[in-house]
Amino acid sequence: MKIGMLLSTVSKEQKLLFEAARHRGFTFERLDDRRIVFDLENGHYNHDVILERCVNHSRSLYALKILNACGVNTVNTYEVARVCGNKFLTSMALVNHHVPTPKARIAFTVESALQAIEDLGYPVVLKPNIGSWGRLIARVNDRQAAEAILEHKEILGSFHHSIFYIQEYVEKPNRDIRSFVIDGETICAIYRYSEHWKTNTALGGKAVNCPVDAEVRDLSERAAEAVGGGVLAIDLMETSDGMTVNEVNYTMEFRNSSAPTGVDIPGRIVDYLIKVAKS
Amino acid sequence: MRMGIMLSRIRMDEKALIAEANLRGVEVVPLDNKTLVFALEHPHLELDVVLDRCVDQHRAAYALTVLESWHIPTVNKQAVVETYGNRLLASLALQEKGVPMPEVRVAFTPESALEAMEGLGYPVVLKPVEGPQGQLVSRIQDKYTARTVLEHKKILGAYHHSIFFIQKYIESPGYDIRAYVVGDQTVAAVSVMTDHWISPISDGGLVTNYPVTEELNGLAVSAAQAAGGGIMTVDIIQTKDAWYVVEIGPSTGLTEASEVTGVNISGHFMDYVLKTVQEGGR
Repeated sequence: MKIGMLLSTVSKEQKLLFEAARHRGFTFERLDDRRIVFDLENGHYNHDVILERCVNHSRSLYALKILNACGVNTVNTYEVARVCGNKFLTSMALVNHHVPTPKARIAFTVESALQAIEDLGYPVVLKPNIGSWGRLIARVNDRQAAEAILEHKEILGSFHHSIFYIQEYVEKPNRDIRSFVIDGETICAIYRYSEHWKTNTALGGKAVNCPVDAEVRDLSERAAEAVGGGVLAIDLMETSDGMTVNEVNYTMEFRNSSAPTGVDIPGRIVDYLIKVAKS
Repeated sequence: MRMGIMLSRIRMDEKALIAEANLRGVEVVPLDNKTLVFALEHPHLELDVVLDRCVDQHRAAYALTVLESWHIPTVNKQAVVETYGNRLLASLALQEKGVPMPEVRVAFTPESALEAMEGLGYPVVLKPVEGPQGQLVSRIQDKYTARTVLEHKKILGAYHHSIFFIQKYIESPGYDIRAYVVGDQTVAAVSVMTDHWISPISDGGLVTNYPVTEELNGLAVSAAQAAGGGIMTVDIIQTKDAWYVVEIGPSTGLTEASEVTGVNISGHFMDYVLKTVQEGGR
């Protein structure tokens, strides 16, 4: 059995995965995205499965596309990465599968984006359509802020920063929920507490176990299915009208989540890889 | 006499200036900065004077540096363009001469800039230290917006967008005053009224004549002189109890301003250019 890991740097997550593999008697073959060169004509990959753990979304996307085209199983697949890495595609997938998610708008010019923002009503959340770790996610409180931020995106950013993704602002408690879904099953969830309205643990949010009740399970598994399944982390928000799915992550971090939940997340990922490799 | 006019586009303003030059018997040589190449080893422009009308202040400042090294008189002088092309240098020049202006803070990191904004109190105006008039000028109302705009500048912008220039917001009475200064005289002034809080003259605001009082003339000329003198615009906000110089810059919007004031502003410019040549470029 040959199991590969596509990665950029050896982060805490990667180390935990290596250890989980060792316990199960195999070693990941590392494919470093800083050194790998894909040969489109003669490329030959004999891996049974490759786990994608790149930092950079574009690298993941191209690598997965090529590997899937060569018939290599990947976790996750190219299609899942494409949808989850793009907020617009994620919203579309959730809406099409009737999974509750905040209202979203897409606009291509500063003027049309302003119109969309004013139609939704302040505050709104403006997000880079492609991006992670909460970077450049902006809560827009009024027209002056909207004008300033849109102009900065348009003038300073490269072209894709002018694909404006606008989401309604959802009032939530000072926490949100991140659930972990592997192979269609919700294995655990955490609350992420933060004084700041952005709750990313990368920004210092605090992780506490969240019991997986029927609602968390149902929404998480439906959201995972909507984007194509695999190994996913679902961001849920509690609102006065029930829970709503904010984002779905396809190369999630989990270093802060095993301890509070008591679930061996890297172990479960590796078990799933073995299952895919054997299939 | 041969006058070079350095530009990137011939707008209405440049047409008016060329017409005024021709009226005075001056031969005009257009120097298009899109095609201009300077050979540093040997001067290759036979000109008595160059009038700068570039839109891009960086191109202007570099080209003027070369022309000055060839001892060609220029309007404006390189040091003046460099000063008003940079909000920090302009503010320092105004400050040094005691010209009233809004309080300014300069900081180099989003954290220190946020602290500076909180110190001044919202709203504040965040401006690129360099860049076209009005572009990326942001009114910041609260901490959320401050953090977000600073983050966008830092992550998306080239390095100079992380030189954070912060000005205290001055509530205008609904209009800004733009004074046209030529040498030691304010030749005309207009008020610009818009619904929007930024009122650059070219942006569809209602432009009307504004009387050049002794007080306005004194303030505008002192601002222009602080930057090194020549021809420029001085943007002023007049509140109940004070005047503030908020910007100084190259002269744009001549055509519209001439129309509403009845003053031949381009004619004044050309007279100043001729005087500069007569005085040997001093």
